[in-house]
Amino acid sequence: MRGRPALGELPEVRPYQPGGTVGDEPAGKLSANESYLGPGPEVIAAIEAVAPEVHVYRTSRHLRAAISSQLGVDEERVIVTNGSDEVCFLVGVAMIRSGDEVVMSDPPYRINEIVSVLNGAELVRVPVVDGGHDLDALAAAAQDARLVWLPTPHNPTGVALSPAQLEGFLELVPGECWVVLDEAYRAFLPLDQRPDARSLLDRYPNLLIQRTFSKGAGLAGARVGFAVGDADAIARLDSYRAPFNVNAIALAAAQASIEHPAWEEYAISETCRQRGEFEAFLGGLEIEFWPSQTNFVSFRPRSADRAIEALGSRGISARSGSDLGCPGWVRVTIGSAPRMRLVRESLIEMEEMT
Amino acid sequence: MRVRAALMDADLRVRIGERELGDPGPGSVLVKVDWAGVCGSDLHAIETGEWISEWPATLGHEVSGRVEALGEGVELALGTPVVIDSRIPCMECEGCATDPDRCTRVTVLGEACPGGFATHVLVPARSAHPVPANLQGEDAVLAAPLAVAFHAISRAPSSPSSVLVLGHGPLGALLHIELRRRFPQVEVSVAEPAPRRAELATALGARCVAEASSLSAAAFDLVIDAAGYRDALGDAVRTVRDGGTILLVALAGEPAGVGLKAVVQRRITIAGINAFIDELPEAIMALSAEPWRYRPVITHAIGLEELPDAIDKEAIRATAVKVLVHP
Repeated sequence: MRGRPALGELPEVRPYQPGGTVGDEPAGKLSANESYLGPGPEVIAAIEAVAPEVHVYRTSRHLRAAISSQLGVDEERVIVTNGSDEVCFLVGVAMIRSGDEVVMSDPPYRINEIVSVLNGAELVRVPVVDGGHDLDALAAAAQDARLVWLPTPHNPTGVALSPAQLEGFLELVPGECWVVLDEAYRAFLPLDQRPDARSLLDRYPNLLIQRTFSKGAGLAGARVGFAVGDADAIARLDSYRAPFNVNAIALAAAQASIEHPAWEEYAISETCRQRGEFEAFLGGLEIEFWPSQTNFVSFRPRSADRAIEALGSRGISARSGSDLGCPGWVRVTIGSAPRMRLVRESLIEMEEMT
Repeated sequence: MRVRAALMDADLRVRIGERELGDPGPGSVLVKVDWAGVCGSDLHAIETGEWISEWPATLGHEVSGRVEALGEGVELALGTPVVIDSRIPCMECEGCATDPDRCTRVTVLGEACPGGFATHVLVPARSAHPVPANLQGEDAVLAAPLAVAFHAISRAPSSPSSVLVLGHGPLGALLHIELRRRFPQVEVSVAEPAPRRAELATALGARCVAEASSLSAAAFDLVIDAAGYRDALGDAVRTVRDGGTILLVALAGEPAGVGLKAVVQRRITIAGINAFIDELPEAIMALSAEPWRYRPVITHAIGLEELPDAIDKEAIRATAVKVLVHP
C-alpha cells in the first residue's frame, strides 16, 4: 500500500460548524442568521435568467463596477469574493505571517479564529464587555500586532460600534497593523450609525472593509461578498484568489440586488421591527440579552440547554452559545412572524417551568 | 369536547374562554387548529356584528391544522395536515344538487358555527382539504385568501399589461403577487395609504401611491378594488381604460355613487368576486410549490390570548398586512 505525506505538521483547527435544523424543517432554522424573507422578486428573476448561461465563465467585472460606483471608490480598490469569508481566507494568506500577533475580541467570529490559526498567527484575545468590543484593550494589543479582526456589528453578540467609536479606535492603531472591519450586518444599522466607508478608507490605508450579500440581501446560499481597501492591498488579495471565484448565478443575483434595493430595504425594516419586538419580549421576561444591531439576538436564559430543547420541541433550531464561544447564551436568528411566535411560546413555557 | 376559544358576545366584545364544541358526528372531523388568519371580514364582523347567527361567536375562517378525531364514515387519517374550506353548503338547495360549490344558501365557518380562533374546529369532512407534507401550517393558512385571488384573476382579461390594485392588505397583496407570477411583464400600480402596506407593495415592484386620485384617468387595463372605501368604485371607473375591466373583491359597506352612463359609454366590465369556487386545491399546490412567494404577506403572529387586544381594525390596517393566530 502506498503512503501519503504526514498531516501531523499541518495546523489543526476545530472545523466550523454551520447552524443546523431540527429534523428536516428549514422553516424553523434560526441558527445561521439567514434572511427569512430571502431575495426579492427581481433578484430571483435575474437568477432564473442567467441559469441557461452557466456553461460560460463569468468574471466579476460588472459587479465590481457596480459596487465601486455605489461606494464612490475606484474599481481597483474593490475585490469581489466567494462570500465575505473568502476575504478572511485571502487576508490570512496575504497578510498574516507565521508568528504574527493577530488580535480579536473574545468570543470571536469563528472564521477569523480559524484563518488566524491556519496561518500560524499568535492569537491575542480581548474579552468583550457587555457584548461589545473593548476598544482600549484592542488598541493596546494592536501596538505590536500584525492585524486586528473587527466585526461590527459583532457576531455572535450583535453589538455595534458607533462611527465615532470606530474612528477613535482607528486613530489608536499603528499604521503597520491591518484593521479588517467586517460589516456583514451593516444593513441592519440605522442610517446614522453606519460608518462612512469612503472617508475612513481615504484616511486609514491600513483599513480593509469586508461586506457580504448574505445577510441584508438574503443571498447566503449564493456566496458572494467583497472587500474594499487600499489599491495595492486589494491587488495583492486579487492576485491570490482563484480564477472565476464567484459563480455566474451569484454574480447575477448580487448585481440585481444592487439595482433593485427596495426589497432589501423592506426585508431589513421588517427584520428590525421584529428584532425590537423580540428584545422587548426578552426584557419583559427579565432575560438578559445583548442589544443587537443585526438580524439575530443573543440572550442568556436560566438554562441554555433547556431553552434549546424547548425551541427544538417546536421545530426551532437556535445556536448554542457553547458553539460560539459564549457558553450559557443562546443565539436566535430573527425569523418569520409565525416562527418568532413559536420562539416566544417556547421561552414562556421554559421560564414558567424553571 | 370543551375547547379554548375567542368568544365574541352580542355587544361585540371579544374575550377568551371555553365553549362546548361537541364530538364529530357522521361525516365530520375535529381539527386541531395550527394557525388561523385574521381576515378583513373578521374585522368587519367585529365592528358590526353582521353575518353572525350564533352568540357568542368564535370567528376565524382561514384555518390550517391537523385532523384530531373523525366522525362516522370519514376516511381521513388522524394527524393529516389540512386547510379548511370555510364555506358550509346547505346540501339542500338547487345549487347543492349539482355541486356544493354552487350552494345558494352557503354559510361560513365562524359566522354560522364556531370558527378557527380556537384550539379546535368541527367541520364537515369535505371541508378539510389535505395539504402536502412539505407545506408548513403557517403557509398553508394562506390557501383560502389565495384561492380568492385565483378566482378573481380568473375573471380578469387574459393578459393585462397594466393593473391598478386599490388596497394592499392581505388580499390586495396576494393579488399583486399572483398577478406578477402569472404575467411577469405586467406593470402593477397600487393605491395604499398605510405606510407598512405601501412599503411591501413597493418592495414587490409596484408603483405605489397613497391615493388613487393622484393617478391618471383611463390608464389601466384592469382595476381591482381590494379596499372597499367609499369612492373606490368611482376611482376604479375613472382610472380604468375604455373597454377595461373592474373586479370588486372588497365588501364595500357604502352605496357607490357612480354614474353608470360612463360605464356604458366606455364599455367597462364590472364583476363582483365573492370568495372562490373550486380554486382551493390549486392554491394549496401553489403554496406548496413556492411558499416563499406568498410568505411576505404574513407580518404578524399572535397567541389566542392576545387576540382580544390585537384585533383592532384600524391598528391592524396601520401596522400589519396578514395577522396569524396560534391558539
